Amino acid sequence: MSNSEWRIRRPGARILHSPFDILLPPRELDTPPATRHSPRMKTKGDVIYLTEKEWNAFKEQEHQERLALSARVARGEITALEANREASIFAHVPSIAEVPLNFDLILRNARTIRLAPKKHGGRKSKTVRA
Amino acid sequence: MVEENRRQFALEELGPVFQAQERLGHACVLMGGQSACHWAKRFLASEPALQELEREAPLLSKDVDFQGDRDAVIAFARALGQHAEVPDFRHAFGSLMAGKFSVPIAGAALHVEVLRKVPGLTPNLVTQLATLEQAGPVTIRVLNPLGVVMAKAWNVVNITKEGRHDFEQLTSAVVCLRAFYRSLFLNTEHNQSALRPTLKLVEIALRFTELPAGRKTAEKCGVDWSQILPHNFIAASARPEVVRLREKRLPGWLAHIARYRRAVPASETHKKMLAILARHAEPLCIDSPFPIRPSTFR
Repeated sequence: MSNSEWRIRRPGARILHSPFDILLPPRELDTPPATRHSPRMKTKGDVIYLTEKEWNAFKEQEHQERLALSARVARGEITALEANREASIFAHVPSIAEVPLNFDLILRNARTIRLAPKKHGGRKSKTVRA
Repeated sequence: MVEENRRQFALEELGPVFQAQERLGHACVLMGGQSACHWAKRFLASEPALQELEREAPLLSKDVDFQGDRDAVIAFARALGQHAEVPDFRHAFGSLMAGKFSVPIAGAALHVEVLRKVPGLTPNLVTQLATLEQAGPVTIRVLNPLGVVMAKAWNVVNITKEGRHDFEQLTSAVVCLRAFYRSLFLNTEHNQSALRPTLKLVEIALRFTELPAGRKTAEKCGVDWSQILPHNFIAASARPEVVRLREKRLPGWLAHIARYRRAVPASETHKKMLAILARHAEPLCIDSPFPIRPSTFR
């Protein structure tokens, strides 16, 4: 690696293949597994090389994005929690309570239910009817 | 003894099972304990009663039950790399089981059971009371709280087996049903056409509690059926349909269910859960013609 190239990922740093990999113990992640087809095996694609100029531009862009987010929080356009989610590199999986009820389906199904008409008394036996 | 010590699973651990269902186009409907847990988790943040109930009985279940047919269970097991045990022709009669299999999850075996019918509900009603819900990254097809209450009430009345958690799940399902109705009523504020089907769902619950099944449930576990409705909302609403419900339908219904003899549960945990339910009860939207009987029947 020449001096003009900056390695974003240090050799030994953790590789996250999914947001949930952060929960795994580091040793298990950093050591490539023995199996050939394991999804955790390191590949060349995991390491990106940038020139110093590209790296600085990347840092500057990140900084500007953070500033813009803080400004939106200050203006009250978004909450701090929403800003955090937006800045996160992982996709946000909403919890059960965050997703609204599926009103369309519930009500569409309810419309198909036929209630028995309310009558006074049940079926009369033949003797009573006569 | 082995049954007692079986590991219990939370809903979040069942991701692979639900993903398989999603791939198969939701052929089965989630029922049983895990469906009660799902609704409890959905309304946990908004219902203080559920938070207290969760401390008494954690939202876990030993297995996962679905409603589906024989073909569905075979495809389901295959999608998870397992082989389904399907009852043969001789044993299929008189048995609700369409098939069962086990899946290894987090080092333990999760028993997946698929029943042909949901006890206490007609097959048509199961389809009509099923809904699609987002549980984390996956979508599940699950009975709505009304279906859960009806199915659990059937279990409470008809199954007397040690180690079951029907009472705990029914108690939390009653709170969930109230929260569910409240959400539906709030939805009608923006959507006028939603009121009729919402009232229909309410009417199903009212009729169910008036049936012998509802009475027997109250006699067996002491649940107060008057708490399935969001009384605060109904009392405050000025919509003619809701006023008609409040002034024409509910007095008769309350007079009916107020006469039920309600049992005092033998277990201390169950007593505590009933006390939590009573503490978080909403005041009735109308005066009951008869006072609701205290839970004293043994």
